[in-house]
Amino acid sequence: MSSSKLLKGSLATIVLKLLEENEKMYGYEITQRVKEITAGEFKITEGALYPTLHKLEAEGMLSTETQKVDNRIRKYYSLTKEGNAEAQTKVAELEEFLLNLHKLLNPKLGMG
Amino acid sequence: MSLTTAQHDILVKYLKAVEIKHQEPFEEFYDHIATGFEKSHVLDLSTYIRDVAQPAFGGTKGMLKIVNEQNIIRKNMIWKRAKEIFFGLFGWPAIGFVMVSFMLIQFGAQQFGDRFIVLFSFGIGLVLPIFVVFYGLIRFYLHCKRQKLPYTSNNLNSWLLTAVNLPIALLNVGGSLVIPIFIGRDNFKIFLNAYPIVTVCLSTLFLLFGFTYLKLLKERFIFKLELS
Repeated sequence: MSSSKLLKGSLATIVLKLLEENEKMYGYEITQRVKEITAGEFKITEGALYPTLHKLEAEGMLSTETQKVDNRIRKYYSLTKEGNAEAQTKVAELEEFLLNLHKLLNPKLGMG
Repeated sequence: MSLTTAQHDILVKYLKAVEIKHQEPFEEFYDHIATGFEKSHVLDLSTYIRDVAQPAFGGTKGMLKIVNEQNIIRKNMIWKRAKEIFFGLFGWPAIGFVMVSFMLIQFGAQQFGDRFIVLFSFGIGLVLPIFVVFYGLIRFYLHCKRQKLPYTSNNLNSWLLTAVNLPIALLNVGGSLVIPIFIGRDNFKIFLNAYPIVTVCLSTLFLLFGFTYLKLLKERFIFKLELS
C-alpha cells in the first residue's frame, strides 16, 4: 500500500517525536531512522522532509546548529523548549486519532 | 569518509547546474547527497545522483521548490523579528530610548536646523545599516573566495539587504511620486515649515528604523559569522 499521502500529514509529528528521542539529528539521518524503525515500510522523501524541517524551524519548534563533519558543513536540528512541548501534544493527538481510527475500522474491538 | 576531489567536483557541478546558489541550501543538499552516497553501495556518484538523490528530492523542480519555500520562510522570519524589535521600542522600558531620541532630535533641530537633523538621522538611521550589510556581504564574499567555496552569497544576507533598502525605497516612492503628484513639492515644504514637529517625528522615526535594523543585523550576523 502506498502510505505516502497518510505519511505526509503526520510528518511534522514524526520529526518532532524523533527529535524528542534524539538530542539532535540531520536531514539524511531522519530519513534513515524512519526507514529503519519501520523496516522500510515508511520512506520519507527529501522533497517532503526539508520543507517540514524549515517550517518547524521558522515556527520556533526547532533550532539549528552547524558542524564540520568529513570536511563539509552539516546542519543539525534539535527541539526547542516549545518544540518539546509541541512534540508531546502532537504525539498525544496522533495517538488518539489512531485509536479512534482503529475503532472505526474494527468496530467490534471498539465495543469490546 | 570524505568524498574524493573528483566526486566533490561532480557534486558541486550538479548543484550549480540546478542553480543552488546560496550557502544554506547548497551546504544542506551537499551534505545530504554526499552522506547518502557514502552510505550506499553505489560506486559512481553521477549514477547515485541520477537514480537516487534527484528522484528523492522531486527532481530539479523539487529542489528549487524547497529552496523557494525556504526563502519565503526566511523572509517572513526576518520581517517578523524586525517588527518585534521595532514595536518593542514602544513598550517599557524601551520607550525611554524613544523619548530621549525625540528630545535630542528636537534639541538638535533648534540648535542646528531642520535640514541638518534630517540628514543626520537619515545617515545614522537609514544609510548606516546599509553600510553594515554591505560590510557583511563583502566580508562573506571574500571569505568564500579565499576558501574557494562553491558559493559567494547566502540567503540570509540577501534578505537583510532587501530589508535595509526598503525604507529608502519607500522614501523614494514618496518623494518622487506621491508628494509631487498628490500634494505638490512646494505645498509639502510649506507644510513642513508650518509644522516643524513633523520633521522631528520623521527624524526620530529614521533613528528608530536604524536601531531596529542594527539590532536585527547584530542578531543575524552572529549566525553568519559562526558559519565562517
